[in-house]
Amino acid sequence: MYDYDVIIVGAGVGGAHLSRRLRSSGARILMLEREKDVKVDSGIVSRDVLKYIRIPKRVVREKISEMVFVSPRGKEVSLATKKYFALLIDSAKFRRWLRREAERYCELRFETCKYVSVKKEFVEVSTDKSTYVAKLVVACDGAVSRVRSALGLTPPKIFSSARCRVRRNRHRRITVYFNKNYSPHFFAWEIPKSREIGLICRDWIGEHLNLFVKENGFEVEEKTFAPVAVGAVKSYARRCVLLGDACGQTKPFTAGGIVYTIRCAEIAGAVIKRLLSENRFDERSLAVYEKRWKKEIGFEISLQMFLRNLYRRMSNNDIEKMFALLGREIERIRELEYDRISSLLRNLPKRKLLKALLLLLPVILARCYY
Amino acid sequence: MAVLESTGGISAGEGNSEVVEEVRVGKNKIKYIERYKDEIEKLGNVKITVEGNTVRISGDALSCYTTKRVVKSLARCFKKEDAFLLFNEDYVLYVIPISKNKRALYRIRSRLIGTRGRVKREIEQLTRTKISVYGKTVSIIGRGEEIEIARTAIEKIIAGASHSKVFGFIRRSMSGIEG
Repeated sequence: MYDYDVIIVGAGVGGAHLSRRLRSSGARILMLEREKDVKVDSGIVSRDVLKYIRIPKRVVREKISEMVFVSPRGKEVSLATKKYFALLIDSAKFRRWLRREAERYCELRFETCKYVSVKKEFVEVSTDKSTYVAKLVVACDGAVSRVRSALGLTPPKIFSSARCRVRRNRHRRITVYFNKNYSPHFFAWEIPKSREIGLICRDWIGEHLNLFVKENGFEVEEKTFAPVAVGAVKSYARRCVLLGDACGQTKPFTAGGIVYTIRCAEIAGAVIKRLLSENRFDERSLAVYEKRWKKEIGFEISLQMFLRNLYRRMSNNDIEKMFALLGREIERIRELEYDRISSLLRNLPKRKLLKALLLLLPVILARCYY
Repeated sequence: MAVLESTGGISAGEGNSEVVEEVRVGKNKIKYIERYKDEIEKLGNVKITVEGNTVRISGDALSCYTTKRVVKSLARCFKKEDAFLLFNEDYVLYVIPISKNKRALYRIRSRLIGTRGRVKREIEQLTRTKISVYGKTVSIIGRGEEIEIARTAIEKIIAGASHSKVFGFIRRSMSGIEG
């Protein structure tokens, strides 16, 4: 009756890693992918990724142990740690490698998923070429998920990100610009190694990008725009699991999500393996998945969401004040877990943090600027 | 009158199947087209003659067809570089009428362009198309799915959707096509 046991929609980081996890279960897996070539991101991944995946050396471009934050008026604060806290990887190579690895354990077909209909006994996935029947569908198809909308689940908040190749860089080190004029919700960045600049914001991204490029004198070669999902939402339904960007498993403060996605893929793999052996796919048993990943990263997501909401309400002046208050302390930091903002906060002295909160009190109470 | 109409008068010649296409162009655009006449003839491999406010293109059928699109887009007030993109077969030109009502026309046109062209520029950047608002029409030059998205977005604005909703739509739909 079933063509496959599990259908994974999307062969990105999440989908590819999940299929590797599921190999020992002996399930028949089909992976659907829309595009022949992989998509790319800016490629900064926290070093935690090494806990889960053995990344080949040729993929890693650089070990990052230093970052510079620039305030609206041009004050620079550098964060340098003893050990590297993140990796700059060649995103295209990394994803291609992951996909090739995954292809060994499952069947990969280049088809576009059109619709998913869940029945009591099975789930039917229709693509542009044919229809497949399976026990379970896993949606790893990114921020604008087809499967999610077919199932009628709530989407996370969607922002857009822009990345550009530039001819020449301004800084030697990775630089993050906190400036409301460049991006009211997030920040702009510059990665010298890959000659890349970029920013994330909601509306008027082209205009913000133009301003950022103009004020800093970059010469842009090519631009790409991509949607980014922020904020966790419900990640399961009957016979269906969402993974990665599709259900907002990203860091709300920086919108990066590779490590979170991989972590959740591990959890999803374990849960799905058990359910396959028990042959139960109702909503209650899939809820275990959400419970477990929320236990691991839920707090971090909500904390970062709070910080992001705070940041959204701050004006350029407020940011400047924060730089003046916390700049020194940040420069003193010698160790950092890139995925945990809470660890950063813990390293800062409590008195300073309280002072910062007091300074921001009018911001917290005030209405939103944007 | 700056409204463009084209009449495809095809007269099949003998032997090398010569085709003549006629494009009627707004009066004030004739000079603009004549300026680039030589370049168009060279790139399109056709012959162009201008009479009054009609442009007559003669050559073989395919090059006539592509050149006609270029002339049309020039008549829709596109820049030369943008219009010449249409010599590439992948690119398409769409002309969308805005409104017949004069007051609505002014209102919608300004909504499409925005303060100092920011709406227009934003749509152009996000969808990688070229847009020109001229007279009673909006015209788009672009490729494949991108132009479809730009067209839907513009039609939404014409129908009265708010800008932020339209940008949201573009953001969501552009994820399918990654360049």
